[in-house]
Amino acid sequence: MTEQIHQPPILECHQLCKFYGSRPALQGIDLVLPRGRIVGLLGPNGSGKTTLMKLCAGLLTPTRGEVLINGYAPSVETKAHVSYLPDKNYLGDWMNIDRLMGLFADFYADFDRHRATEMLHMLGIDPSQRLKSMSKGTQEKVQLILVMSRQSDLYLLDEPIGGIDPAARDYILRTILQNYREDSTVILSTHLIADVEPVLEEVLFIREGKIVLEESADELRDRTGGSVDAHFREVFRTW
Amino acid sequence: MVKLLKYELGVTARVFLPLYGVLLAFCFFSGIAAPLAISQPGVIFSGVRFAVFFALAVAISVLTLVLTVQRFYENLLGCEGYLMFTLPVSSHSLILSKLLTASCWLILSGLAVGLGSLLMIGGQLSHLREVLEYGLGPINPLFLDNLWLYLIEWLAQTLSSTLRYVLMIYASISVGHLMNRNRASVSFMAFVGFFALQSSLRSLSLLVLDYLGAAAPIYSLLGIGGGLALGAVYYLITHWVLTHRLNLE
Repeated sequence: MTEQIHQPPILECHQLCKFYGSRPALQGIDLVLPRGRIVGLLGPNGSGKTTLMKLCAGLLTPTRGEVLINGYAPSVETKAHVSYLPDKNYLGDWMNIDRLMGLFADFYADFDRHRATEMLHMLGIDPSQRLKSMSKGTQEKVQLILVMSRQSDLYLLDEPIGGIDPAARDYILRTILQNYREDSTVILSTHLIADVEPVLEEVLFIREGKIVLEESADELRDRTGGSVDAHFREVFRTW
Repeated sequence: MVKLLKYELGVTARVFLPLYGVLLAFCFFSGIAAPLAISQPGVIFSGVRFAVFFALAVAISVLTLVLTVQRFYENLLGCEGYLMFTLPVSSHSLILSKLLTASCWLILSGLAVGLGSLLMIGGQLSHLREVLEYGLGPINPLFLDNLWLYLIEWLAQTLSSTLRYVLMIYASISVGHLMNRNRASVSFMAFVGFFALQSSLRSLSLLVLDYLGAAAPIYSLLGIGGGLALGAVYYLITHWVLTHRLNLE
């Protein structure tokens, strides 16, 4: 218990800025996220959700400010504890799933191959299939399964259910809930707020590269008397 | 690092090994059939087999170059970079695994074409020394009297220039990555710039050595050492960009 108290927050951003050329994508984000939360990162297109996730994953370098994972800037050490799902297909599509699982097992000490095989079986996906022979939705399911089969401290899921059929979404969300440790934090960005709302514990609204709301989902619902989805529509309708 | 090398070699081997197999099988059977072509009116056959060999050799050369560029650009700075840069490995490991694999295939492609040409002439290995002297002579006739020394020097020259060549490609692509747009054009311009710079440096050092009346081994050592030093500069540029200016958009 004492050990947990002394652990730094899983994610800290201090005056984090990112510019693409002269165009600002993030403008002075200050954020501290504790461990053991499921956080919805919500905002309209181009608001900076993907940029923030990429900065946390170490795929972008900040223009100004800093991002700290577990107290450290993104590095080899932090990458061992961060499981990132991008919003695009990023795995070599010539590989079959068995080989991909081998790749994950080779590089990530926290990858649980047994769990991945079990989830593939539940979704009726043959591990000997090559990615390129699968539909886009099935490829996304495979990517999510691989990412969620790690026992990471921080999961960064960028649009994890965007391309997945509604019938499989419930299973995917249950998978997310079942597979993360209690002290892990999941940051989840999506437009499908109604689908993910039941699992969200914290909500971040982001607009034009700035965090405009940071609140627990329960408090937000109590305060507004409606759902997170309804509040999101209200806030961003006038924008 | 070893795991990255294993992965990288696995990806590229599935392209190169079948191609080497086709080239060497063609050259072997073509070499066996060569005497038949001489005993019969085989001028056309001879022309065709050399044309096919030439086409295969060009295909291997072009493919080696294309894959050197593609494996760095697409695997690190394209969509697959999302995976590679989220693996818990250092930028040094990523660059070195690409460099060693690309260099390995560049050298193996050269060896495959060389071996193929030997097989084409019917395996007349008694002419090996003449072939080597003809092939390697232009580089430096310094050690012609001692084949082993000559081979060691040739090997060092080949390794040095291969590493420098691959790293120059990586540095050029990395410079292009610094831009927000027109990355391919800037990479190409950087490549031309690096090439011009290293040609100027080479000419300048040759002039200085001529002026000083340096001994022949100095030329050779400077060529190898200078190549490695330039390679180190290209490596540092690449590493700096991938570590401090990475922007996978």
